[in-house]
Amino acid sequence: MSIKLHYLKPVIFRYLSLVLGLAGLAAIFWFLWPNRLALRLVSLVLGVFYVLWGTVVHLKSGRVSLRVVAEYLGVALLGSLMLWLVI
Amino acid sequence: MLAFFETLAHLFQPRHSNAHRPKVLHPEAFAFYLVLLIWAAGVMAWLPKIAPGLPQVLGFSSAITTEQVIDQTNQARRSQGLEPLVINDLLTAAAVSKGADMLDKQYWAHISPSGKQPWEFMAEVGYYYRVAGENLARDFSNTPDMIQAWLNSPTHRANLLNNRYSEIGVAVINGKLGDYETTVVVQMFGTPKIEGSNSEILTDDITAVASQSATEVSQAVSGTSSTVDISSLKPAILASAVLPVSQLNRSQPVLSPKLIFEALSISAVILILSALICDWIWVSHLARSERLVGENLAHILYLLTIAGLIACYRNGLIF
Repeated sequence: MSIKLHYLKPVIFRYLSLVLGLAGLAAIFWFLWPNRLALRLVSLVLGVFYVLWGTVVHLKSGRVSLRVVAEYLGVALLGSLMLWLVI
Repeated sequence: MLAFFETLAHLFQPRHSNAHRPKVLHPEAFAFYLVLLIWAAGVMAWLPKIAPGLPQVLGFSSAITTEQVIDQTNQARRSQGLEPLVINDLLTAAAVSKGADMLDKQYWAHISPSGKQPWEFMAEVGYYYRVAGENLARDFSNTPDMIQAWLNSPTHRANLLNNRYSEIGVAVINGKLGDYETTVVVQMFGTPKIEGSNSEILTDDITAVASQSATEVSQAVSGTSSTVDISSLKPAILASAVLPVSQLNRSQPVLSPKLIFEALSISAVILILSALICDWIWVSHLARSERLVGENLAHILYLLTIAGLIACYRNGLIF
């Protein structure tokens, strides 16, 4: 049980940080609506936060490569751009 | 047929040919989606310039039209057993004038910062009413959401479903309010005055709320107010922003950039989420392969957040 928790703890911690970050930025997005300029800035911040989160998590686990960072960058840019274009 | 399934498997199933990661989740695939979205945005921005005959298709930031607003208002009235409202050109002119005034003087309220009442816009165009009312909305991307928001609000609902009104005028205007582009909708109701009768306004709860909002907006954009001469409103400016009643059947915006991007975004999110879920299930239950890739659950959470925000953004403001 304690061994399982030992392995799960960092996973829970990193996903908690992701969920809190995303939820916080979503709340800011909600609060700033309908100021489009501010909302577009939040969509950029969301993307930057996600790339940083992914890079830090993979750096800490020692499982990082340029392709992994590129994958996070791709997902983040795609999400931010979709939001940006709809706003 | 076999080649088709092979391609499908290559795109969605982790296997040797795609380095044990679905091809649609490779960084190159994300670069492709980005290029596709940017290309679509570019085409939609430039198309009205290179093909001037298509401004009605792509020139609107929202899909709201005056015809839809009137149709759906009457639909709501019919469902309650009320008579449908008849379009009145003078009320429409008053609504256009009110919308233009809000954008010109930068306020968002029933009463302008200088104290001008909605009824004065009606009087200016020569509409003399026995009873009158006004509903306002902004930032909605489509008509059904806006009508529903009005129906959910007791005061707007009372206007929309009032059996004492017989006529309607609607203006849908795209413009800049404060720091951002928006679509303002003005809906004016009325019943023409009969000789010898007194005028009556049915929206008596409006005044207090409207004054507060007018002050807030005028403070936020101080220094932008100026006087407006209704007769000086340029038809060219209004024509690009409004669908006049006389043109309702000729120039309907078929699509809006916002709707196209919503559709493209939802399709992209569904495609990527499906691939991520397939990959997650495949790798965690069916195959054990050591690979250096991003975390599927994190991608899913991020994309769901984006999809949720896009869905939430569809809502607007009513007043």
